[in-house]
Amino acid sequence: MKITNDLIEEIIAEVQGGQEEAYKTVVETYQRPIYQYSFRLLGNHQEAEDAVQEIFVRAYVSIHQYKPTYSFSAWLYRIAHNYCLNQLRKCKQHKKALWLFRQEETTESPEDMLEKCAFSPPLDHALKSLALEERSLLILRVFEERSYKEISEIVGKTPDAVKKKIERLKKKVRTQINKWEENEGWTENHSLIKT
Amino acid sequence: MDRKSQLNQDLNLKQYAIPIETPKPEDLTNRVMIRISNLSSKEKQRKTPMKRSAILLAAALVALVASLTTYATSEYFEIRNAKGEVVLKTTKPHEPLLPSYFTELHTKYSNQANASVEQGQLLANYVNDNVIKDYDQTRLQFTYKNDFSRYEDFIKEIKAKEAPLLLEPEELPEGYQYYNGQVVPAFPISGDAIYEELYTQLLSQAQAEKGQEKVFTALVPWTKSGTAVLVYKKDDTYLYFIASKAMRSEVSQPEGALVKQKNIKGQEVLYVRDDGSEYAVNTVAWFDEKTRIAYHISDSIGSRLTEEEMMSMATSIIKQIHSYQKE
Repeated sequence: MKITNDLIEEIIAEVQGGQEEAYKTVVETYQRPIYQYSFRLLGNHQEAEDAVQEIFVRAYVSIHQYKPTYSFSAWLYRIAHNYCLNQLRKCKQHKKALWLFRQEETTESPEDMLEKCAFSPPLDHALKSLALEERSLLILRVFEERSYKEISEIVGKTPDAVKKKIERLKKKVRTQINKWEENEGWTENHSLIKT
Repeated sequence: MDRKSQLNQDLNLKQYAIPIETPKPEDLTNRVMIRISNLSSKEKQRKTPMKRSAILLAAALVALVASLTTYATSEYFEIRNAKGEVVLKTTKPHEPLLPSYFTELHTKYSNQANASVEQGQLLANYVNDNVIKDYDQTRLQFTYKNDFSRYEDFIKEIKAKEAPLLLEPEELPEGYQYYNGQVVPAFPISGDAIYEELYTQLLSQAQAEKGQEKVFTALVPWTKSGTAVLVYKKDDTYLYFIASKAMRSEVSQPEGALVKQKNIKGQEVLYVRDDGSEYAVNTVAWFDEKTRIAYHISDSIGSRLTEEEMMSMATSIIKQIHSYQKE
């Protein structure tokens, strides 16, 4: 059965009415895109799995706060956006703390490095030059294919402001990718990462 | 930029994405629904039944300190204070909803954590196992060891750690001998600075772990106790005395159990007798409003103690507490 936006709104109303089991359909409908979004931001399967669970539980706990003035998808992505950015900030602080305490960095195995790549090296490198919020904006637009309207609802800015910001980010990322490809000589034969 | 150029640019960036392998949908969905079901269960059922293995009793009562009450139906007993607040009540026993594979795993990790704790220590443990996390929302588990094989040492520790006052009854039923005394450390509570620091520290260790280790432990400094436990033994049966700092108290009232409300020297007391119990045959419970300490006396299955013997011990303890309060 195809889950339309109208059907989702009906299901949400049931959940708000106390029908806990109805929430299962919500999880089934959105878990894949939320997982992909989380993985693209967090870069780790385990963290993405944990994130998905946490996001859906938080959405359930605050389900009574949802009003259909904007789409449920935008509301859910907002929770995901805030959660993932917080995780990334904590990770940054942790790495800083490790450095302060002079702890040895663990050596990553090739599998670990591969797992961290949600993107090929040129784009991965380019995204790392962006701030966390900017990274999320780009991922939402380009890879999650959210509309400017929905992204504006997720991040709390106007659609125009979001659109302009994303255009600037795309240019910035394109420039970074070109630089990387010139310097690193990325070839077609990147067998480590299959597209 | 026109729409076509925009689309081309998006497609251009998309080529750099790597297809993501998503976990099995039913796995994630099930885990989410289990956590949600767990949340709902906790809303309805706030207390785990008191276990009758000697060491775990105290931990069960410590949980009382943070428990929220749900009001009893008319078939259950409630004791209220002068303000009308329920301070002690009987409740339907809470049935564990946990599958056996969870409890087996939980036991395995508990044993591992317990093996490393030494006398006087309180340890915080973080278990990095998704099955445990799915069923148990508690971020940290605590293990401790603070046992005393001599009653005199137990009393010294009660004073040193400002534990709830708990003294041996002047008369014990025939054949019961002192077995063990525990002064239980006050555990940090979620939201406290020390709890959050411990959690952050242990979570970091777990995330850095590359091997198979699942249990991560940290020593917790402690100076105060929230619960005192005395255990007496006769052959294969035990007598437990527990005093715990609490906001209010509950005692299980299984179906068919006999329950009486009595007054001892001005203290309202509940007596419960359940001959078919898997845990305790007799329980006496009261809540001391002045000191905000919950007291429980219970025996174990196989006990032949009578209501009179149980009430006699309760009377002795209440009298001792009153005379201590007058000093």
